[in-house]
Amino acid sequence: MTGEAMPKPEQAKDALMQVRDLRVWYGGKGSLFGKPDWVRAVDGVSLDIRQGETLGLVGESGCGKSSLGRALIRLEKPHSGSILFGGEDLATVPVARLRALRRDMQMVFQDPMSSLDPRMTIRRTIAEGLVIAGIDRDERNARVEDLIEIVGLRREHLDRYPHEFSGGQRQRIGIARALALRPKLVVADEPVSALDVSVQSQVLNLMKDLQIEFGLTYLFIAHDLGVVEYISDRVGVMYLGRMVELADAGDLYARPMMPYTQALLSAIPGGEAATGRRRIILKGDVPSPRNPPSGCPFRTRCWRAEPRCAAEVPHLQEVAPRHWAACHFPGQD
Amino acid sequence: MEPAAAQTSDEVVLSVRDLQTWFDTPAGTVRAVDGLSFDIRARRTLGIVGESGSGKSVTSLSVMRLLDPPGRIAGGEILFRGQDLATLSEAEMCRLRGQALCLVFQDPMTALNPVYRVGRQVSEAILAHTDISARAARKRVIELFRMVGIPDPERRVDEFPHNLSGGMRQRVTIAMAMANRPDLLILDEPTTALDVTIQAQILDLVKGLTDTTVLLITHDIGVVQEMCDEVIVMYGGRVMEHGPVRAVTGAPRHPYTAGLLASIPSAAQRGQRLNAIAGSVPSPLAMPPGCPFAPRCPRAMPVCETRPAAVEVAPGHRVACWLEEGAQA
Repeated sequence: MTGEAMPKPEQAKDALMQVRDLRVWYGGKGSLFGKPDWVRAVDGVSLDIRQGETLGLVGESGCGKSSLGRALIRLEKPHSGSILFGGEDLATVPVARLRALRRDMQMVFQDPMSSLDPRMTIRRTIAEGLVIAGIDRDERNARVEDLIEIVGLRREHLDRYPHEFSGGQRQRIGIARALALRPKLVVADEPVSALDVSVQSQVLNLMKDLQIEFGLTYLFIAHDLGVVEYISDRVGVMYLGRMVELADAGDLYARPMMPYTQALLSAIPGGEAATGRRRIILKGDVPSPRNPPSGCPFRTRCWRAEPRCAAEVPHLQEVAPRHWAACHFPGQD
Repeated sequence: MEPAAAQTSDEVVLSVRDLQTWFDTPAGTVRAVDGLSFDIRARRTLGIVGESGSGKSVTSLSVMRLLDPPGRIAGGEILFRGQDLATLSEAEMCRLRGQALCLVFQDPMTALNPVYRVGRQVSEAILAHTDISARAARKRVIELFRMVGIPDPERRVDEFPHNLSGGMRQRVTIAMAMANRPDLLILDEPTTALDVTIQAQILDLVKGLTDTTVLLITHDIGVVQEMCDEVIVMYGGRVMEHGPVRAVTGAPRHPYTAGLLASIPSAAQRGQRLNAIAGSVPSPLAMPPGCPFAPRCPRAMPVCETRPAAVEVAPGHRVACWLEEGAQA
């Protein structure tokens, strides 16, 4: 960021993780004499994740929500910015220390089939993290047997292989694996989007129960706006690598202040009848993160855009109590 | 171009009667569709909603006769303009496909050939069924692209599929399906691969095709509420409930429909547990003999081990459940 005023993020007292001006850029090779050709997947995001909350992250494909989630637990190396977690900056911490810190941060993936090793029994899959953490065999076995029951499966399932389970059961196994090291933060990237509705609700119920039982903090990434509204305490909306709105879930869905959020929420099918909200049909597609528009990333599709939107990047500002939006003209139409 | 047969307002375009689509596997016969019946009237939109394994996509493949072995139509009739598609020869089916009957798939990238320009692929569909010049076909493609909302159609016809976004590709496949003004357009999960704002664009486009009769297959009840007049709820290859969308989603009669609707998370339930349906879909090789939902049903009774007949609970609203009076087959 050059010469622009740094966005002033909220300062939560009970923050488990503080993210400041985080950038995750990919590529950067470019042509021999040309400028480096970066894909700006995450471009200057600041936020706090509070102890014990579920922070939902929504946005369309390519908005950077998964890259952000992966960067927060250092599955991606950030280009710049800081990620403070327990007083240490994950963005710069040495790898050896990172390995120890990772016990506190786990991930649940979208597709439980491709995130489970087909040649490993469920017992080995769940225990793998415990082995790496140097926990002895008896303790390991006891914990694995505990975990499988916690996620609603049975001990006899432990010696089977992933293909013997349904999608919902596999996701339960993925959750058991994530919980094995008793993490503080769980990043769940589309954890229910591969599941049928009737099974999806079982997994959501399980995640809620576990959160209470183990005092977990969730970063819940999903494209399904209904699921995110249901499970989240707060919700952040991303567009082209930036956080464009962040508020308490109820407030965000009832009073979206940024035009993109308004369009996104109005597009939920069947929602028009239920909420009486007028459908906003956006023109065109999302611009390329290789070459994002100047100023506000949404201005090329925004019906409220004015010259200022092209000239100046809007930063997240508190437009209403606990409600942050990155827009020069926030408000409802 | 042969004009589509004039459709009067309540003419039945497609009538499916007791359709049975089976897959013979080494482990036994899977009845993917087991006794499906419905009519679609001209210019209406009928939705089929269900979870994986419900038989909804096999229904669309059966109507199009695109089943690959070991799948086969084992019984029933698929009456389309007076002909039974179930027994039509492959040559006759070929004449109907892409002309009177069109199918749009979920993933436009696999439906388009990556090595040909999109305009050429759409004109191919026109030239296969009509006797016009290549130049006239190209003009028609540009018209179609404009109709489906592709900006700058004169230039876009010469693009390759990989140069287009997912939403634009799906517009191309819809243009291709509409090229010969089909009597019946089947959309199989047309927006499942798309983002929600792009989904809204495509649904808006389909809503604009008011002269077209549509069979819409989806897992998303929201899409059904948005698009359809009538809906069929399928589970385990059988019809659980069938009726006007407003009645079925507003006051569901079948415990499965009710459970499905209650499983959809909403703001109103925040902080509460969802009313999840217990268990998971039974293996297609071990379907219960009676109601397929019985093992998961909170209201199951001993009688559910035999198959209930569909009961008409209100005009045009049928439910296959023993809780309804008169379910004796």
